[in-house]
Amino acid sequence: MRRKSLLTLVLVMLASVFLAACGDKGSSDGGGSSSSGGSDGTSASGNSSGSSSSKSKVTIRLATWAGENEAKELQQILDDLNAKSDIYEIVQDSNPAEYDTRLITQLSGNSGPDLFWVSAQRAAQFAAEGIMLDITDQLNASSHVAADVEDYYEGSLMPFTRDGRIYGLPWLQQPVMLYVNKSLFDEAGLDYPDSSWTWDDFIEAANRLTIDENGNHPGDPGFNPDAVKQWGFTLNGWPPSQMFIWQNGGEVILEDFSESPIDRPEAVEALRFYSELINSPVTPSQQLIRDRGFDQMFRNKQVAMFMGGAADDLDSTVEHVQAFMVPAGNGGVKATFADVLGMAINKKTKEPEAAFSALLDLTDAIHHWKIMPPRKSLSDLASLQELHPKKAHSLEAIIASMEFAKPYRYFDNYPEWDNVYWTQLMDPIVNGGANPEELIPNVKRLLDETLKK
Amino acid sequence: MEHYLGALIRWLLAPAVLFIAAIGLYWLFRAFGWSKRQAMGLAIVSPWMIGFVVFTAYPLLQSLYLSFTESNIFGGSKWVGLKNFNRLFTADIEFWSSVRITLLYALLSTPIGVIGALLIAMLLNNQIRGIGTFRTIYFLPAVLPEVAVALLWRWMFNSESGIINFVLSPFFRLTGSDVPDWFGDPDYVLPAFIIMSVWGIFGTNTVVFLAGLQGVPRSLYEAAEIDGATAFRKFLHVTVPQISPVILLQVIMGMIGALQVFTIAMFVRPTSGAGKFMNQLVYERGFAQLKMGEASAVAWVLFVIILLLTLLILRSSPLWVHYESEVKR
Amino acid sequence: MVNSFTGIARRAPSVRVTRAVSRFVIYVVVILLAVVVLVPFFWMLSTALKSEGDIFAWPPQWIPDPPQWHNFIDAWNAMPFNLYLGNTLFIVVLGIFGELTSATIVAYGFARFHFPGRDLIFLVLLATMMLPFHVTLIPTYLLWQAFGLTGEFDPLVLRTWTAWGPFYIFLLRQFFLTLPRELDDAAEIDGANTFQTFFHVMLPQIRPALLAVAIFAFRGYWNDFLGPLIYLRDMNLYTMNIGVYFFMGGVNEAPRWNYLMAMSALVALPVIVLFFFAQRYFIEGITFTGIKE
Repeated sequence: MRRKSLLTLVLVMLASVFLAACGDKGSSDGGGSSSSGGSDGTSASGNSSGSSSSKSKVTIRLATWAGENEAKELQQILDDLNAKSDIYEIVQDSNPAEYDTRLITQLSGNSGPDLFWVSAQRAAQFAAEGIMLDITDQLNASSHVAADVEDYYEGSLMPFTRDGRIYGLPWLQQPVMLYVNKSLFDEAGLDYPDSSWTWDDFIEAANRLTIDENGNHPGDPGFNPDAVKQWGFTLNGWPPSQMFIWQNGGEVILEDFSESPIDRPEAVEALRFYSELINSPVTPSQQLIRDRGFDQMFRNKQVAMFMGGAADDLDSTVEHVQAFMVPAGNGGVKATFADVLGMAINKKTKEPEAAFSALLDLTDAIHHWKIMPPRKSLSDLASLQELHPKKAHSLEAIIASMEFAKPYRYFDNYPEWDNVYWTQLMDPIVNGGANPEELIPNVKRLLDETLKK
Repeated sequence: MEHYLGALIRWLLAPAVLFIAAIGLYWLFRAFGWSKRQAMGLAIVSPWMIGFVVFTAYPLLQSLYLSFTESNIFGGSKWVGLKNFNRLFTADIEFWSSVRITLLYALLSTPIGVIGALLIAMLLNNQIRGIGTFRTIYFLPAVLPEVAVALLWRWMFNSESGIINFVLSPFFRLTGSDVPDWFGDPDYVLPAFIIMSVWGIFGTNTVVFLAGLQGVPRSLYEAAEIDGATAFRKFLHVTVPQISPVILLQVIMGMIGALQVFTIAMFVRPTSGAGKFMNQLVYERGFAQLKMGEASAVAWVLFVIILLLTLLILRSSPLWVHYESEVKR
Repeated sequence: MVNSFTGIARRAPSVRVTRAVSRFVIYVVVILLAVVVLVPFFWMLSTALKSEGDIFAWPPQWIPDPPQWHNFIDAWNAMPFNLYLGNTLFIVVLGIFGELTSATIVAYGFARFHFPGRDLIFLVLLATMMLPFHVTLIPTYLLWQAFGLTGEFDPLVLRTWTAWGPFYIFLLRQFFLTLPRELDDAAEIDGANTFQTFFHVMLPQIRPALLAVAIFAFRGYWNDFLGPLIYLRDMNLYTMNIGVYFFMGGVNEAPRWNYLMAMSALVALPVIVLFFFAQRYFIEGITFTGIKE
């Protein structure tokens, strides 16, 4: 009796297996790994493997790290672009979490996104690994505004270029600026920074802006470094020390990638300057920074000067804050770090033409959305002020900074170089109060090794 | 819509397929001459075995293979033999400090975790009013997503307003030293993580012990009481042996978890002067530096460490673990 | 511990006092520890109820003034959490069912049956928990891609039928092993076959463990984050935890701490509620039908 019902059960299950399997095969092909397999209606008709007839638009998947607000703003831009285009339909796939892990995993197969946002460092890495599509020829052939390679600031294209070929386009280059709380400056009776500022001027202002609870400045008799209630400046490894080395006329990686000359006097001096700043009473202790929040302290008016990216909202959300150029080195050399972000096409995309078209349109759209567009033709003060009214007061300095802003010299093994630079040099200096001169010889040796790989 | 439907259909099919496979395996092994019971045992376990072969063995072996290569995920892999391991053991500046801090952390936090969870479970195994609410409160730490937990810890270690320093400040005042910079001072990073591991006492570990304690037969306690046993002796001679299989589970799981700590470390970002945890190294080498070969090598070293320690514990288990079901054997 | 109180009535009064004192002590300790556990949650809620400007006000406020209760609603509406909730439930329900069924069966096999290679296989099972997941991330992804199932829910729910969570198998096996052989033997004498022994004798005995596993599995699938993140690539299929991450801000955007905490609290709520109701089965004790009582 039992055996019979068991057998029946098995037979019924087998039957349903076959039935469902046949129906299942169809849907798994259609919803599977082709790049046109988005969940929107345009391509769910089972038109797999990207056969784009001129009637139906190709779905282009765009991966980004956008958070809540950014994703919404981006969606508006995408809706606009999609409405205007006959060729593509860009679908957004965004989340700020674990972007790198996610992107790399998805790119490792052939079901990755068609377009993706990428940071400068990753771009250099990916270009070396051959994951991004070479678009040099398409760029040369295109007359699109955003395809004019000459229009881009050289520094912004660097991370996307390899051996003379271009693999992506930057949509943002933000130089590091000096954000200043003007009311604190007023209270201290100081003039605002200008383009003639050097390290000495900067330190002097920082001293005058550091006040303990009795109103004393560093250097005054009775100054109590444990009772400071306002600091002139703050740093915790950011801003990057490389910037200071550049400002002193030095380099951390030579142009030919042969060595890391951090043992040369310019670099040593700059690192010493950095280390002194860390230990100086004009900056809060690392512990305090961790407790109260690095940029929070500036927002709470406990710190008078802050170095942040040009796109930060410090000057638009905090009262009386304006961004100025960072001070030049004592030798007059102006330099600042430029964070570059861009977009690239997945080499394995099944729709290269549509993706390229989308890339150009979207890049141009983002140039009009974010600060700063890495294009000289768009660096017009008046039009930028119109686009970004909240930061209008800082834009002049930002535009001026673009002239001397540069990203790091990225190369294949840059992440390891960076890891050594931080763990063996900067971390001990910042968190351990170490003396840079003692560390430099050994670190240089290690850095040179990573360059050779 | 097709995503849901498709997944549902395939999900409904899977057990059917596995069931059929189990039956097939049963008859196959019976044909090999296995007894009814033996073949039944294998058939029952077969779903896991099938899953293992398909989803675990392949990636596992793949990662082993990768550890002997230089691979950049996207391009090809180049066989380099033991080069990765060689480099790790002799020339890598981060490796040994990583092994050190990972091992220390595991060896210190596991006993604390197991003993602590057991004590809390015993506390919760009482019939006092509102115990249900208290149990829920104690389970709360397990319920939060990792993001929130990591943020909470950053706040709790805050030297000015954090509760850790608030509680410990009397001790510091006694010794005349400052509140430590938990994540900035290399000497304090390990203690900080061990304190954070205490949090793991609450949550699932306590619940598992609670379930275990519930299963101890009342009759055993009563028999012990008749013999005049104190609470402590009852604990030692009745409770512990009865739940020793569960203790074994917790010790092994705790150790495996501790050796693989990752998320908290990545969020909190302590100074690297204390060393990075091995799982962090795996992530960095693999996903930050795109050196999958090296990452796999580190991962397999960690794997071997975990395996050896687990075997050690398992080997020692017949000495102290008491299985009711094996009594007659 | 429960058991030691059954003897109260028969004891002398001095012992009764000792018992009362120990109860009091237990109360105090339980309450104290509960406070310790609750402090971070209190802070979490406190942050959730603050308005943007107050979150990092200095000195930090414990009780927001006035509490922004609407933050919870605003956070929910900020992203399509209704959709995310549905997706999460889909994964969780399918996941728990598959997991619980297969893990229990497989654990029974490991505990009660001897077959050649059993102990080795069990060790292998343990070993699967020992390899850091980052190195198997990509090979596993490529595997699913070969099946054509990346971008679908399957990588998250299909594996559950193969008892994919080794922890659950391990836990249930240990619990099965605490059951004495006499149970099996008695059932056999009564003429039960394997299935009947399993369903009617073994399962009821380990109900606390089953419940624990159900709660853990629920929590595991509910909180699973990396899996959905990697395999789902349509924003309409995201789960709640991924949704919460949207509040983490971006390159130039600070995180929205209050929404982040509010949503984290909401996401945690179902698991808490589930546990609260399920743990009654731990207290009330289960009617043991076998030899145990």
